[in-house]
Amino acid sequence: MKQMTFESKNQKFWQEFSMLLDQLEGIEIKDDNFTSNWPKFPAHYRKMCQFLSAAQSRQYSPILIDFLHQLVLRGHRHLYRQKPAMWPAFARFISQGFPQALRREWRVWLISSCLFYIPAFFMGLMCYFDSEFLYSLVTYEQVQQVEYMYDPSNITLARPEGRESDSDFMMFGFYIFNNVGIDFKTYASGLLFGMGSIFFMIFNGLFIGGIAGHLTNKGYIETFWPFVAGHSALELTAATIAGAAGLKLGYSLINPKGFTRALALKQAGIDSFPLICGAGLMTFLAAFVEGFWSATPDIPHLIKYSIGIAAWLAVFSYLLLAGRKS
Amino acid sequence: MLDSSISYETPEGIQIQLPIAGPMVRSLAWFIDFLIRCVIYIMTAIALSYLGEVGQGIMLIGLFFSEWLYPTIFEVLKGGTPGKMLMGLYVTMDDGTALTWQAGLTRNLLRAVDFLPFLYITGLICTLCNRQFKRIGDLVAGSLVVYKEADKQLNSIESTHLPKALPFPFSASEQRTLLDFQDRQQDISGGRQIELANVLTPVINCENQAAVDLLNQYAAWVRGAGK
Repeated sequence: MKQMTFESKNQKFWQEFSMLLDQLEGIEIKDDNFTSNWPKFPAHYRKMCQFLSAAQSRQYSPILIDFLHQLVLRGHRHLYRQKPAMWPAFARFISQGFPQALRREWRVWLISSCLFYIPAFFMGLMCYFDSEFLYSLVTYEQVQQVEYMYDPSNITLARPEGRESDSDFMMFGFYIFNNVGIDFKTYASGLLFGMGSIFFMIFNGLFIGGIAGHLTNKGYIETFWPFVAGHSALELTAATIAGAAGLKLGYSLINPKGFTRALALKQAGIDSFPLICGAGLMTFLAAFVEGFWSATPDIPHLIKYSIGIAAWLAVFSYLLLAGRKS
Repeated sequence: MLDSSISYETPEGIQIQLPIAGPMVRSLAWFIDFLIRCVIYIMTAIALSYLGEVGQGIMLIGLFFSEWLYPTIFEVLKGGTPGKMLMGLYVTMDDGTALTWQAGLTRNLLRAVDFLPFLYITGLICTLCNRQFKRIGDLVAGSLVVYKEADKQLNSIESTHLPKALPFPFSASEQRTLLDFQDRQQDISGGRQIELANVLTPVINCENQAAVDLLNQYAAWVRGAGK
């Protein structure tokens, strides 16, 4: 067939297909034609593929081939797009996907938990028994600031952090920006052969443990522990999960298990994705708790501690039990 | 062809070409996004300064979203951030399909590593080390940054040259070379045009300006579907 005949015979079809694509991409308004043509899209797309390969094998002009190629490319983007229903997918992720993925990756989670809690425990003990020890890690000004925040003699109207209620919201914003950001950085830096995640886990462990030990040593028990009790479960667990996700990335580079490193990394990205999403969501929730619950004054310490313990139980029973088959 | 397209075979057994964008145009796109974000920061900071500490809280949440989620949301819903759209780029999966949320989030969370030690040095080195100009985030997510081609039309270009039939059938790539020669004439000097056309002297039996004109006539014929 001559190119001209080919064009004049099929041009109408191409234009209709192009119109359908415009409507799918939202460039043109969807009219009645659309409703009748839309179910035929896959068949029309495959016909376009035939036109393209015919044009290529008959060596028609590049202009025509480019034109058809563009239509096929646009159709390809639409036919093979992965577009799961957002909300059901999200609900399934929360109820099953995230805890299941975490249990699948329990080894890296255990490692990152150890990297976090062991330094935290030892630093806490050291700082509890030696009031000077925290200065080996944290600068004098930072220690002063933390001491000031939790100093019981500073507190006006028993506000644990000595701050106005207006600033609850500011702190909420800060927790989201800072804490979720740290989770994401912990994850991303796992790509440096895991070194970044390991550093973040150990450093944050030392820092958090050290502050806790130091303040307990100072006798600020009544201000510090009730404040952190409520959000500790979500925040610390999320930190270890983010670390686990980062370690997963790093480990795939160290031991690609017979795949090329690029392929192993891609698979690790897929495996670690639910972990970092879950960790981000948990830290996001923790910011709510920290901003609006932990800082609320006038709540008896007993209640704060009970809620804290309940939160630890709830978080772990969710992570260990949700989404099991039987 | 001297371009950086990669081809991917679809389930229908045809090859689609994806023209990959290099580091230079991508850094320009990033810089435009950076400017857009700076302007938004300054404007919201001024507006929110009247709200006191609540304003600071909103600002911090906004910073979080713009730092981590701004590119993801644009790339998944629109194909590219405003900077990428201005530079004519979009983000797609390795197989040319639309970017998924998972891939979009992964490639943008891993920006933090590509940025190290400063200004995307790691990302730049990584893009130069593979054929598809992928930074680390793209490698993990399985995404590509490609050029959005201008809308192709049939018979849209008016040629000033009289079409002249090819003396014998040219292969597709030879025809394409002819068209490229014509398309790029604005960008190359007359001397260079003649030099290029003279390469074909043994085949077309004329040289210098006559050869350039003849090639233009052939190109017009290829364009004009005159067969």
